[in-house]
Amino acid sequence: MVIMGTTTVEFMFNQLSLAQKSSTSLDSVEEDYVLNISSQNGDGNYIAATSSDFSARLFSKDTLAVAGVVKGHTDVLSDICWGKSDINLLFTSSKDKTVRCWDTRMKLTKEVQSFKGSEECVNVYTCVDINLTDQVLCAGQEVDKDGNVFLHFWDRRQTEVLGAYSESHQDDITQVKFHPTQADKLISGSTDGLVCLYDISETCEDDALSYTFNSCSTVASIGWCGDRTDQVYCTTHIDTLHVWDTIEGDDLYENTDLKEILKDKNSIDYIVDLIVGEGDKYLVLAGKHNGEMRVIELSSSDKVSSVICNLSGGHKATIRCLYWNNKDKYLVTGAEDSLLCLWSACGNKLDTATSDGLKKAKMKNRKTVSKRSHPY
Amino acid sequence: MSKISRDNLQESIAAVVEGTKKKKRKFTESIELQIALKNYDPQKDKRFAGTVRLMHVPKPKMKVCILGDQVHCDQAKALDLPCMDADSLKKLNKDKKLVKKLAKRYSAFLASDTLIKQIPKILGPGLNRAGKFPAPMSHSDSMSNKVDETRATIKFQLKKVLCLSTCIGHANMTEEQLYQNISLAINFLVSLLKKNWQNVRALYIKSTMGKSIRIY
Repeated sequence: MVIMGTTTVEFMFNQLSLAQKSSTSLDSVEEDYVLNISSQNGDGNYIAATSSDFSARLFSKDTLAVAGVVKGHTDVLSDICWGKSDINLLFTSSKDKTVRCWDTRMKLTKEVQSFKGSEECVNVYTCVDINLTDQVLCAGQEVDKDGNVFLHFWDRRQTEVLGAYSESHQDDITQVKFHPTQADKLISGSTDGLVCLYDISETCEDDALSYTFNSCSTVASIGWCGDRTDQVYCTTHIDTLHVWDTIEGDDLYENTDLKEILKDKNSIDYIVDLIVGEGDKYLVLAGKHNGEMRVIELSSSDKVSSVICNLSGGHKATIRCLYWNNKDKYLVTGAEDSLLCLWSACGNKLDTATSDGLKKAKMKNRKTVSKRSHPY
Repeated sequence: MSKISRDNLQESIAAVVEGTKKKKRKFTESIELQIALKNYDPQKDKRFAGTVRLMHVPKPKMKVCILGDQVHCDQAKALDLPCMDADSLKKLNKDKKLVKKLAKRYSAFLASDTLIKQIPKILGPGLNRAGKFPAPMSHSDSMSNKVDETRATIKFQLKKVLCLSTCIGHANMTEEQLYQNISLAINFLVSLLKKNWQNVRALYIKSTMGKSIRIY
């Protein structure tokens, strides 16, 4: 059965082809990067992408047409996530020292709520996530000059900080992620190389900290994976991948030399992120700085890594983020060429749609661009 | 290393080492590599950070403590390395001051993979806070190799300004050892940059008290 499963996965990835492309901005001299993407939960139809011009854009999932622009932050948006039970809420963290909540049913130029930090912290927020029940919002910060770094928690209905963790990390926090089905489980990753797992139902940080995993480098991205979502993965800035089990705290998998293994024809420059991890197989998206991408399958049982598909013709620059829809089997990628690309398994049928989709996105963009030019 | 000729770098290293010899200090000067970047925007480009293992240990004074099970503690005693077992860690009683003291006493920690899982439960977040959470070690790893790896690994991280520096050696190393460490570090750093050498504005090497010498 397992073998059947994997062959379909491979087959499916072989079928992946570029379905839609969307441009976030057109008239800029220096292109704005797409930094982060997040997909609306449930049956919501939006994908939100943050851009380096301090805004975030909403795109429709199937055509990648622009559906709105979230504006208001005064510095780089570091992270973005959607509400999990109220799917219309969108949360953004920014280096402008605020975490803001937006509602897609209301105006996108004014936040519904703005969460502030506490006075004794730098409050430069680097990442944000909301828990399963939409009650607890958590954001990580950069380290201050005394070497303190804070994780802030808010009750979503109040703007004042509810509590903070300050002991578990020693350097910039790069990501926080709540468990998809357990409201009290949280992981955080930092450039001190550690990934910490907390049970936030405990009253103090000492008791909340359940496990600490050491990547021995600096953590770039983290997330939950595995058949029962009881595993935690992390990628590092030197392109290694680590997977740990959160029940027993064991090391499950480690890959530290992917760049060396894949040489010549299959060479890669960096790991974008983990796409999906199921069973003992981990699918990783890796890229080159010219925009080519490869889906690589890693296996913890037989220590092999193989390129199962190449994705090219979409991006022309470094790929920064991805979103994988496991139910409908499509992949969305965002890159430094300011494009979002949708890769779906339906193959040739979408060839015509590609050009259509492109046109649509461009037209919509022209409109927004002209609107934006008014204030100046 | 195509951009820096072997001769030039060796000359610069010789000059730095010469400088440390001319005026002896009361301590061993360390030698660091300074890197200035260009065409790089820390606001939006990918974070430039990571770790790399050098060929030769740049900080020989680094003390590594083993937090081990029985087997590892025996090995550590045989190698004359400081070690602690689970029971002596439990004696600290999660006391923040004692854990802080423990963290201060050593530069780094290595822990058996069976013990490392319990560290947060036994010690609380004290070692995390000190930036000294142990690296894992299994029975199949060679302990002395693991210790050397810990001591030879350097960390670099670009913050808000476009320059960073990292220690790559000390004045008592041979010039050839310094050369190997410097070239390894440069090659690794450049390989992580999007435009490789086009992102490098300048490279300098300097000793703690000496002048910096430009090598690129």
